[in-house]
Amino acid sequence: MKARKAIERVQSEEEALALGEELVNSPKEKANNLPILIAYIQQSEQCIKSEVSKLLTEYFMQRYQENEILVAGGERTAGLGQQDGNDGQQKNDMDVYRAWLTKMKDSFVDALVVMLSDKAAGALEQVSALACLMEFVRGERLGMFDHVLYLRILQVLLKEDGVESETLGAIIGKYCGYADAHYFTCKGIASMCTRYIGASTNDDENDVSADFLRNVYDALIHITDALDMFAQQEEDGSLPSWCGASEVGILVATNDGTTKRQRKRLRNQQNGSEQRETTVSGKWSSRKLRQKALSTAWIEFLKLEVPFDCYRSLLSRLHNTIIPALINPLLLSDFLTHVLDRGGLDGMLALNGIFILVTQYGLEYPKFYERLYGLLTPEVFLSKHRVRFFQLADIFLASPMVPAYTAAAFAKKFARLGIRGSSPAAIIAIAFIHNIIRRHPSCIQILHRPQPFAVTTAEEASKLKQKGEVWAGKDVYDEDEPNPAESRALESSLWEISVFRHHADPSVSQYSSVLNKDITNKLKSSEIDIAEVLASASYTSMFDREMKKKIKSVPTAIYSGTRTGAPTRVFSSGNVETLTLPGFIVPSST
Amino acid sequence: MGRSKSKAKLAAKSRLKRDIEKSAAAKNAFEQIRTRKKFNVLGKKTKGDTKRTTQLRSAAVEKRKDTLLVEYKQLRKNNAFVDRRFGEDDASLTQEEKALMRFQKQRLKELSGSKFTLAEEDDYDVGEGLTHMGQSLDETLSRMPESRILDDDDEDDGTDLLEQYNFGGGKEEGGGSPRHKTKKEIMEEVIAKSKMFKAMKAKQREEDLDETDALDVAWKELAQENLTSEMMRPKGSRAEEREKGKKLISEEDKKFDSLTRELVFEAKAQAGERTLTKEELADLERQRLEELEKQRVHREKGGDDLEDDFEGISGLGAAPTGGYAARRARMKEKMRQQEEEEEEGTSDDEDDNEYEDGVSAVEKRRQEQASGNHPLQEQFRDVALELLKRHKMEDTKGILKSGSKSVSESEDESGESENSEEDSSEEDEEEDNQSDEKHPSPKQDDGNSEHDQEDTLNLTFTPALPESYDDFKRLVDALEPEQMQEMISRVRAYNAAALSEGGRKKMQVLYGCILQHFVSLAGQTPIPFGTLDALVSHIAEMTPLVPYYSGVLARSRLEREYEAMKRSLKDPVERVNAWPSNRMILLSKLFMDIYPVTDKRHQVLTPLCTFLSSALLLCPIVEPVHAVKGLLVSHLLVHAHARSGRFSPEALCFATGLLQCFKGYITLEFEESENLQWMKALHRSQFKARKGYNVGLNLEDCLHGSQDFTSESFCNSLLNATLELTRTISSSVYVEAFEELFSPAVLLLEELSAHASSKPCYLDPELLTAAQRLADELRDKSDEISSKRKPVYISSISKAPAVKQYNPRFEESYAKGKDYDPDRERAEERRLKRQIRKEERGAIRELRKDAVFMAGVRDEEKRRLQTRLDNSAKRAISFLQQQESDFKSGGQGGMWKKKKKK
Repeated sequence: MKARKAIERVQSEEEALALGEELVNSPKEKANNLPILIAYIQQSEQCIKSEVSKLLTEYFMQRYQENEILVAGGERTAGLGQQDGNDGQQKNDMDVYRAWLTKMKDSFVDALVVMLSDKAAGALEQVSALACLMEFVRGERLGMFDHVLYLRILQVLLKEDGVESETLGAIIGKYCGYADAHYFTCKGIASMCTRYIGASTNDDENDVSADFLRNVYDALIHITDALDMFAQQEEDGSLPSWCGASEVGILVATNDGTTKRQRKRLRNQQNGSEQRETTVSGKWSSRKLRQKALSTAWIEFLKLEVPFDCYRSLLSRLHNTIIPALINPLLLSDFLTHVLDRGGLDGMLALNGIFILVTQYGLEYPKFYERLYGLLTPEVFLSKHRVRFFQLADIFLASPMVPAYTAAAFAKKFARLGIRGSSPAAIIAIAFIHNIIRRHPSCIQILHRPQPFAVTTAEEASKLKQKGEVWAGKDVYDEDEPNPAESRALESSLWEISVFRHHADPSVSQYSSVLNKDITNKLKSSEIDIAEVLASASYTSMFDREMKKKIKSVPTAIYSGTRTGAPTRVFSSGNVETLTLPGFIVPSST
Repeated sequence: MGRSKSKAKLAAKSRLKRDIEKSAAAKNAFEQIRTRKKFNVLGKKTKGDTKRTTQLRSAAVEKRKDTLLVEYKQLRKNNAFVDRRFGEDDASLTQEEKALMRFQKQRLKELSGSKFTLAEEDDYDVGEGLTHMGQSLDETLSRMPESRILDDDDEDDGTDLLEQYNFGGGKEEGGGSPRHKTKKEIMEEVIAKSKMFKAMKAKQREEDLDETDALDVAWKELAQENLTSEMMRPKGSRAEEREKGKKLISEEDKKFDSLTRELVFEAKAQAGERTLTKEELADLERQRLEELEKQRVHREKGGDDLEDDFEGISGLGAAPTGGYAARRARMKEKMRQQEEEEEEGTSDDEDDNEYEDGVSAVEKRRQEQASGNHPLQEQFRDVALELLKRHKMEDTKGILKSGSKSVSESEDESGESENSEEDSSEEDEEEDNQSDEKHPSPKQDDGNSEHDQEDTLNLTFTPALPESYDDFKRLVDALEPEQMQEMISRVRAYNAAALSEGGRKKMQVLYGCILQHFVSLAGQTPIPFGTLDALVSHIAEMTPLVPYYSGVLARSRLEREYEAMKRSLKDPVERVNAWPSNRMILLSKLFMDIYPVTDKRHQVLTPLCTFLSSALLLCPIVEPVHAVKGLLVSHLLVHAHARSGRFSPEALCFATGLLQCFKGYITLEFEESENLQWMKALHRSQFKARKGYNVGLNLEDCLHGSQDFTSESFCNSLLNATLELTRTISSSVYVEAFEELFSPAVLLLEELSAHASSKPCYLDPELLTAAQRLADELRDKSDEISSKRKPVYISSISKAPAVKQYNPRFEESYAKGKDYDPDRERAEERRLKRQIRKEERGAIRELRKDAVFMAGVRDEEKRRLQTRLDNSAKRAISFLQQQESDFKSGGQGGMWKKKKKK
C-alpha cells in the first residue's frame, strides 16, 4: 500500500519511456519502475501508451524466459509448495518477488484488455495493445497457447462497443492465420453463441447486439476461408501456429487415428521417458477437430437472430464457402427452412443451399419444388435481385428429376405471371417456358395439342368436348394450388401465349416467336441462356435499345388532306378515333 | 390348233413324268446326281429343293426322240403305207389266227348289209319328207299360186324367184360361195380402178377449161358493147337509198344514231384549267395575304373611300386581281355552278342559259349525263369540292403538305437539321429553367416591331417568320387562343416552305417554336387547355412536313424525361415524385396524335410506351393524384395499342392494383398496409346517398392539384374512373387468354360488390353494384371467348394429314417382284408382257436345244451314210485291189510267188 501511494505519476511519454528503458536494461534493480509504468498504462487520460506497453511486454517476456513469473494454475501453487520446502530466506524473497511480478503482470494484462475496448485510445493503440496481449498468450512457454487469455481477448473484441474495426481486422486477419488461434477463435465463438442462445430464451435481456453478431459473422467468414489454407499448409508440413509448436517441431497431433486407450498408453510411455516438456499436443493441430470447431461455431451462430444485412452475404456465400467447410452441413437445414419462409431472393438463396444439401449431401426435402413454386410471385419480377433469383430458378429447373407435371405447372405459372406483369417479366416468362418445355418433351402438350379429328358437325364438337375439359376451352390449371404437382397444369393449355403474341411491346411479341418452333426437337432448337435474357429484360435496357436505334425516317400520322380529321384538341371526348376518357370530365373548349 | 397343242403339251408332260420314273427305275448312276440348294437367296423363287439335272436332260432328249425325231423322219414324206389289215400289226397272232379273224369280219360285214341298201316300203315315214326353212316342201309347193310358177314371161320376176328359191341360185360368182381372189386378180382390179379415176379427172379438167373459155368470150363481148353500165350504181345514190330505207329504221336505231353524234362532241370537250402545283397555290395564298395586309393597313390609316372594296373582300374573301386569281375565280364559279347542278338534280334550265344560247337538245342531255353517278364522275366532283373548300378556308389552313421539295434542297438541310435540333434542345433547357414567365430580352426586329404595335384584335396578315423561340413567344404571347391559332396559320401561309430557298429549314424552326410553346404551356399551372388546343392542330399539320426533325425532338425529350424518372426512382426521397409530370402526359397525348399509333414499332411511340409502362409499374402511389395520373397514363396506353389489337398488361396491372386498393379501403386494411397509405388522405365517412356523387373526375382540377382529394365525391369518382378503365381495357382486348388475364380483376370486383350492402359502407353502393355489373360483363366475355377457343398448337409441328387417295400409292407390306401398280389394267398388261417374254425365252431355248438335237441326229445320219459309203468304197477298192493283185500275181489269188515260202 505504501509503495502504491508513493508512486509518482508519470505525466509524459518521454518520462515513461525512459523509465521503461531503465527497467528493461536492468530489470531487477529498477523493478520499482514497474508499478509506475503500469499505473501509466492504467490511467484513463489520453496519451500514447503503445511504446510503453511494448517495452513492458518485452520486459515480461524476458521474465518469462528467466522463469521469474509463475505460470498458469496448478503449477503456480505447486511451485510455491516445492520452493517452500526447499530453501530458506533467499528463496523466500525470490518467491515474494515472483509473486509480486506475477501480480504486476496480471494487472498489466488487465490494463491492456481495458485498452482494447477503449474507444478513446484509438485504433493504433488498440492494435498495439492487442499485439502485446498476443505476446502474453504465447509468452509463457514455447508451444504453449494461453487460451484462457485468448478467449478473454476475443470476447472483449467481439462484444465491446469501443473496439475499432481495425483491431478486429487485426485479430481476424493476422492472428486467425495461425492454426491455434483459429481453433480457439472457433471455440470461443461457439461458446459465446451458445451462451446467448440460453440467455435469449431464459430472460428478456436483449443482450445479443447486432454489432456482436456482425463481428462474429465477419470473423466466421474469414476463418472459414482460412480453413482450406491450413489443410494445404498441413500437407506441406508448414502449419503456422502462434505458439510456435509446429514450427519447432514439437507438436504431436492429438487425434491421429489412435484410440483413447492407445493415447493414454503413449502418454504414459512419454512420461516415463521424460519427454513431456519437449512435446506439446494441441487439439488445434488436428484437421478434423479444427473443422469440427468451425462447424460448431457456424451452427451455434446461425441459431441466433442474424441481422438483416448479413443475411444476403451469408446466403450468397453459403453454397461455395460455408457448406463445404462444415462437417455436417445437414445441420443447416433448419436454418435454411427458416429463411425460406421469408421469400424473395433470401428464400431463393436459401433454396439454393437446400438444393446443394439435397444434391450433394443427401438431404431429403420432398417439398423442394413446392417451395420454389411458392417463391414465384409477381414481386420478384420487379425486385432488384431478380437476375440472381432467376438464374438460380433456372438451375433448379434444369434438374432432370423434375417430373413433367411439376414442370408444366412451372411453365403455366410463369405464363400467368408473364401476362399480368411488366414487359420484361413477359420476356423472362417466355424464356423460362421455352426452356422448361424443351427439357421436358412430355410437356409439349400444353403448348401443342393438335385436334385429334376434324370437327365439322355439332356431334363431332360434343364428342371433342368429351375428350377433356381442355377441349371445351376450360383452363383446369389452378394457380392458387401451392403444390405444383396437383395444379393439373398438364391437362391445361398455354393460352397465355396469345397475350404474348399481342403484347403491346414489340420486343415481347417478337420474342414470343421462339415458342412457335418445334421446341422438342433438340437438334433444331437450343436452350435459351437465361442470363442473357435477364440482362436485357428490364425497362431501362428496353428503352435504351429503342433509343439507340438510328432513325432514318419517322412515319407521321396522316389526316386525310383537310383539317377535319386532324386533332384540334389535346383531350377531347366523344370522337371514336381519338382517345376517350371515360370516368373523367374533359375540359370543354373555351 | 392351240388347244390341240396344249393337249399335246400335257401329254408330253405326263410322258416326261413317266420317263423320269422309268429312268429312276433304270437307275442310271449319272441320273442319280442331284443339285441341292445350299442357302436361300432373298427374293428368288424356287420350286422344290432338289433337281436332277442329268435326269431331266436325258428326259428331254427322250422327249425329242418321241416328237421331233418322228416329225423329222416323216419330213418330205407325202404318204405312208399303213397296213390296216386285221391283226397285221399284232405280232402275237399267228398266220392262221389272222386269217380266221379276217374271215369273221368279212362275214359280219356281209350280214349287216351295205350302206346304200334302200329301206323296205313299210318303213316309209311321212315325217321324213324334204323341207325348206323348216317347212315341208310339199306344202309350200302346193300353196304357191300356179300362175306364178308357170308364168315364164317376165324375166325379172323369174330371176327374183330364182334367187329366192335357189339361195341366189349360185348364178353369180361372188354371191353364194365367196371364192378368194388371187393376188393377181386384186392387183388387176386396183390398177383398173386408178386408171378410171385418172380418166375422169382429165375429163373434168377439160370441161372446166372449156367453160371458162366460153365465159371469157362472153365478157369480152359485153365489155366491148358497154352493156355493163346499167348494172353499176352512180355516185351518191347510196344516200338516196338510205332515205328510202330510213322509213324502216326503228326508234332504237335513232337513239343509237343520236348517241354516236353526241360522242363526237364528247371527244371535243374542253380541257379544264391546269391543276395548280403546291408552290403555285402557296404563292397564291401569299399574294392574297399581302393584298389583305395592304388593305388592312390602308384601313388603319383611315382610307374610307375603299369601303366598297373591303365589302368585297369581306364578302368573298379575296377579290381576284392577278392573272392566277382571276383564273381561280373563274374556276371557282364553275365549281359552284357544278355543285348547284348536283344539288338541283337533272333538269336545270338556268344553268343552260348561262352557257351558249340555243344549245341543242343533245347538249342538254349531255349535261344530264354529266350529273350521273358514274364513279369517275363522283371522284371528279369530290376533287372539285375539295378545291372549293380549300379555297374558302385557305386563310386558316394554309398550304398542303409539301413533299415536292427538290432533292438537292432536302439534302442540304438534312445536315442542318441536326444543328437546329441541338439549338432547339438548348432552348428547351432554357425554357425548363425559367419556370416563371421571364420576359424575353427586348430584341428589336424589323418584322416584329410592327406586330408589337398591333392591338390583339387586329392581326397582321403578313407576319414574319420567327427566328427563335423568344421571337415566337413575343408574337403569340398576348394573344387569345383563337387569335394565336389564326396568327400561326398566317405565319405558316405567308412563309410557306415551298416559296423560298431553305423554306424547310425555316419550317423546322417554326415547328420547334410551336412545340416548345406547347411544352412550356403544358408545364404551367393551371394548364391553359384552350391555348394548347389551339396549338395541337398546327403541330399535327406541320409534323408531316418535318417528320425527321419532329422525331428527333420527341426522342430527345423522351430520353430526358426517362432519365429524370430513373433518377428519382433510385432516390428514396425523390421516389414519391417519380410519376410523369402533367407536361409529359399532355405531350404523350400529343405524340400519340401526331404519330401513327397503329405502327407495331415506331421510332417515337415505342419508347414512349415503354416509358409510360414502366412509370405505371414502378412509380409508387403515394398521393391520390398519382392514382389519377396512373389512370390517365393507362388510358393513353390503351389508346395507343387498342386499335391495332395489341394489349398492354401494365394498364390492366394498374387497374387491378387500384381495385385492390379499394378493397383495402372498404375493408379498412389500409390503416396498416404500407402500400395503401395514400388512401388515408381520402375523405372517409359513411356514405350518404347524395346526388352528383358518381360524377367523373375533373381532369383539369386533378392535374392542377386544385381537386379537393378529401372531398366526399372524389373517392367515388376515382372508383368510377377505375371501373371505366377496366371496362375500356377489356373492350379493347380479344385474346384467347382473356379469362386468365381478367380473373384477378373479376375476383376483386366481386369482392368489392359483396360489400355493397354491408354497413357502414364507405363507398357509393350504386358504384359497387356497377362493379358487379362489370364483373358479370367480364365473366360473360371470358366465357364466350373460352368456349370458342381450342387448345394451343404449334403449326410448324403438326403436319397436315395426308389426303386420302383412291389408289393408295404405297403398300404397307411390300414384297419384291410384286406389281403394286394401282392401275389394274396396266399391271395386267405388264404381267402379260412379262409372260410373253418368258415364253419367248423358253421357246428360244427349246428351239436351240431342238437344233442341237437335230444337228446330232443329222450328224449321226451323215456319219452313218459316210460309213456306209466308206464301207462300199473300201469294198470296191478291196475288190479292185484283189483283181489287181490277181492280175499281177497271175491268178494266184494275190499270192506272190516270190513271197511264198519256199
